[in-house]
Amino acid sequence: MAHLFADVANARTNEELSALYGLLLREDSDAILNVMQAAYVGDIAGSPSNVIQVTDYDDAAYNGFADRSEVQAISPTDPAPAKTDVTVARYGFARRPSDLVKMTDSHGVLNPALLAQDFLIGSNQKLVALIAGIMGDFTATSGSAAAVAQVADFFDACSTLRQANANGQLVALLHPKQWGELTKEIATVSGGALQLAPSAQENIISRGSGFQGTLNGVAVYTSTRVASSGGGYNGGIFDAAKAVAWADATPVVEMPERQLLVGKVLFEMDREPLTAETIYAGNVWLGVSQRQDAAGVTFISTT
Amino acid sequence: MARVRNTIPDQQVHTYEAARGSRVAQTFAAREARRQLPRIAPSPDFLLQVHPHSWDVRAGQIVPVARKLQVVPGVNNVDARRGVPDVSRAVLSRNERGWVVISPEWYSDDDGEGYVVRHPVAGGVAHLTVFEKCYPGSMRVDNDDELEARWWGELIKAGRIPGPSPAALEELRDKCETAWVRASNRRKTDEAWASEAEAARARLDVVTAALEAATKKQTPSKGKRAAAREVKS
Repeated sequence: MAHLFADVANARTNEELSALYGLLLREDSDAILNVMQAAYVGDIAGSPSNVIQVTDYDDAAYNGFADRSEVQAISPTDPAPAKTDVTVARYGFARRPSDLVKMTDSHGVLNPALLAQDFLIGSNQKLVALIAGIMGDFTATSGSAAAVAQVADFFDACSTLRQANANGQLVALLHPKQWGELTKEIATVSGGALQLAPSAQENIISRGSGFQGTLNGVAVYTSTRVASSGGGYNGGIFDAAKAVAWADATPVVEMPERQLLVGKVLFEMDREPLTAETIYAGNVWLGVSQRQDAAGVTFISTT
Repeated sequence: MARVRNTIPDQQVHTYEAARGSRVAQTFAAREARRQLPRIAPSPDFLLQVHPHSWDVRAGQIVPVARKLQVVPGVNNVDARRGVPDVSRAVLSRNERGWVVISPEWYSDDDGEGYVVRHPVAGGVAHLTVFEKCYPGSMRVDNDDELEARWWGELIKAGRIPGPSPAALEELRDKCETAWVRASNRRKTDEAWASEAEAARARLDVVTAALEAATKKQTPSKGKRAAAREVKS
């Protein structure tokens, strides 16, 4: 539903309504983030800065035990911390329907409750879009801008991640064109040797319309916000908990009579009597950073 | 009997028609303008960044796999100061992780405007490099590989970014070899893969030649010999 009724005053009086809907629907293909399990590292509310610093220690004891003779001393191993900064910034969205538009709102979508819900979904999609934007930031790459997306490259990426001890739930966030090329190859080239588990409708409902299914145990999402560079789309395959960190903020509600906290979106209403309009504004504070570089692979294929 | 003429004064007719014509014209103009926009998603401003371990072959040259560091407050430590994105912390953070962030000033052409081009698209603005081309009414984005490869070559030559190390080239060779083997195997059963196999072979040849040239200059790590007394039989 999110973003389906942007610029309402124009949309409802414009004969190009259906075309506008068609364009905006393209934005509505992002996943719901919670299911992607990207690492949530905190809320800046109450802290003196808009930057959250996360420290990751190496798996010291994991490989650390060494053989020692009976009375030989153990040398203590210092942890090797790696820090990640997440800078939180503000994102806003507003609508300003006129009274005429509200009076003739036969679908009943222009009420505060639905708008607040819409803003919340929109903020989730924004977070997914931010994450999609950092998929090109992993050092390791698979595939090439000179070729279409290939299943072998997808498997190579998974192999690279497992070699890097990225043992958590792997998630792929790809451009729809990349996913289309992979599924085409599965259907036409692999001769049935590869089994794709496409998403059931129930999963799409719970995980968002961007969820496509699983391949090789990797949960695959698509988003048109995946960036392109050098003639190639930069999708990503990553260990959700290790590769991406995100943070947010709980806004302060000072005027509860016209402010509402929806999730962490500060939803506000105001009235402009001189123009007979009502203003609905939403603000949310979010930040996304790459966490462990080795826990992700940039999946590249031609645009 | 005088005929009753259902008339509108000339001036009113003119006004009505003009207004009607104008509105129709505007509608069509708006529709046409929208049709002329590239059908790609809006995308934010960015800085290019490259990593010394990440290379590919394009236009017969070995080039860094450039990525886009999005200039969006809240993403990878980009901050905002009075509404203006502040990338200082983000650039520092990327440098710490081994990346080289490419200054727009390093791209010099006649206008001196850097390498980012803004394209109006449906729903906003798409930011692309000067090498990327998009088309009215199309979702297609092409890249001028030759022009871009030449620019990367100039940056390497000028010492702005490091060239590929032999280790990075070996990694690239393995990747290209795998792609070539895969395409060649497919070609055995389907001749449609011929061009893919030939392209993969050409890419492999480029990397092999570069590797041969670079290996001569390579100094392997010396390490330290383990003392025999540490091992008891």
